[in-house]
Amino acid sequence: MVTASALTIAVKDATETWRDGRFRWAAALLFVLLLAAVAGGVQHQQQIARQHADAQRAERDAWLDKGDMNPHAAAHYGAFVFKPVQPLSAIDPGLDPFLGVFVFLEAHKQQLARHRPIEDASPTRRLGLLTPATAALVLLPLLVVSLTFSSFAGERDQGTLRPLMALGISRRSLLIGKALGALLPLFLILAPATVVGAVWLMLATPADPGAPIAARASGLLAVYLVHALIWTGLGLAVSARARSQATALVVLLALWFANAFVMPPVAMALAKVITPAPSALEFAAAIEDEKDTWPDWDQRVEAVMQRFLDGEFEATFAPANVEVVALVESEAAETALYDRHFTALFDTYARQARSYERAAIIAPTLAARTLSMALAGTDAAHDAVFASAAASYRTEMLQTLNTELAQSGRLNTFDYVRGRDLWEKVPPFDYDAPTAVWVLSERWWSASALLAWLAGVTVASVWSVTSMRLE
Amino acid sequence: MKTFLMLILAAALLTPSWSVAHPGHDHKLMGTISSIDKNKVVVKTTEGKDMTFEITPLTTFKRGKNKGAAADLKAGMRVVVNIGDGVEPLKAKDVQYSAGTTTAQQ
Repeated sequence: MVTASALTIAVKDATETWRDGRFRWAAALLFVLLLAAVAGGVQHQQQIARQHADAQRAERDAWLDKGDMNPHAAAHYGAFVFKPVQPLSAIDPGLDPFLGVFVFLEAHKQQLARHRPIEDASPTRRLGLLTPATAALVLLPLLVVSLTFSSFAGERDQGTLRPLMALGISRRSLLIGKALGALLPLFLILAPATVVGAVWLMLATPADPGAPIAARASGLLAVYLVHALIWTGLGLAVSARARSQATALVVLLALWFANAFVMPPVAMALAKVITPAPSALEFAAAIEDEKDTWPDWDQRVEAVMQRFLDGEFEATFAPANVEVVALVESEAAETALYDRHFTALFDTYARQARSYERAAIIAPTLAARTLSMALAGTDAAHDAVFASAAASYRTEMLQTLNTELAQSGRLNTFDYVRGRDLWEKVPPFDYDAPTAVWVLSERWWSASALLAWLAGVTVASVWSVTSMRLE
Repeated sequence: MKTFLMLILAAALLTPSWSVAHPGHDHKLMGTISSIDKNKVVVKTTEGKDMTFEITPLTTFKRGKNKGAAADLKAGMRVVVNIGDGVEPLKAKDVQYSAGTTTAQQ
């Protein structure tokens, strides 16, 4: 319960902080950086979304207007599908710059997504851009550290802690007052920045205006808020236990640096050691090696003939053309092969992501980063869902074309020609990102870790304040 | 944007052609002999259609892995017929049938 004395302390601390010119400069800078990050994110997202939409439209037109040809030739002609830009990628672009943006779908081969945006990026962009997520998860904790490191240690250094306690204020009220005193100035910066950023994002028309993003956006806000609260608790706990405010500052800066810059690459490196993933070349080579053990085309045709002569295809009304049966069967075998390899690859990535998540036990920012990317729809799990959707679309496209070929009743199957009416039977690629509930079910470990950290630092700060020395 | 579309166009042009994937244009049909009249053989295909092909002096016969003969063909026998380019009237280039089967196992 917030007592009057706690409120008095909070107002006093917040007022002192606000009167501090250094804080006002830092706050103004953070405010500007947040808005600049939102503006940059929205502008970049709009540009990419427009490019993807234009390219997808051009690709659809090319598919429909490619003229008359054999259905299987059309399957080889192929089609491109583009990964839709997620509306909240303006807040956290996550892994998007490092993942391919389109997949080429064709007969006999399932491709990995191609064209990673980072490959086209200018040298300055390769260094990394300021995003709202970076501001919330890296800069904001730094500001929280600057607001909390002296909360108790500063009072003790100046000899005002014992007189303060002598006024009859309980340690719990003191803790609440100090926490509110640190959070209030932050709220005065973040609340308007959040509102302005949200309005800006909505007015700029998200990449997919129809996408239900309210739950995901609320989740993002909650993650950033909980993360800031964790750092507030950490700051207060360290300040209460440190010998001096200088010691508190050094410890908190070390924790901040480790969370922001050391742990992410270390955790990823460890995840890669624990669960090694094949390189793109190794992945492709493994598939080719397996395909090399398969019978060649003539052997396949021969095998179909032999099975027929041995009594197969009894009353199945299979196509009379041996080659079509061989084609459909080889396509099915190839699809199964690619499905198996791609599933194994994405399972490996998922295991790496889980290992990375486990590191949140010692670094809460990792949990927040994981959740931020997941809620923005820009993590590896969303990439796997897109890849799966592209693979399903490819299967559907090939089935439509091959079924037409098989049912043509023509002996010259490969000379059989169809036109736009058949191409229209392949619907446009339509991809919907999974729901926020799915995100939480995928990233429950990070969500639990973040909440456990919040509970842990709350207990730690209460214990630190109740057991702190006054001089 | 132009670079992006050029990239796609280039990728499409570099796509291997379909003809490379499926060499040869001899077509083979699967069916069961319905009737034989001199050198005309009527086959009921697996799709349920009746198709007639002609046995020519150049037609070869394969019984399992061994050489066969036109006289082996009987109604009810399963055959795979190489009909070349498949242009009608269909002429058999070769006819295959099972070594252990003289009539369909029906």
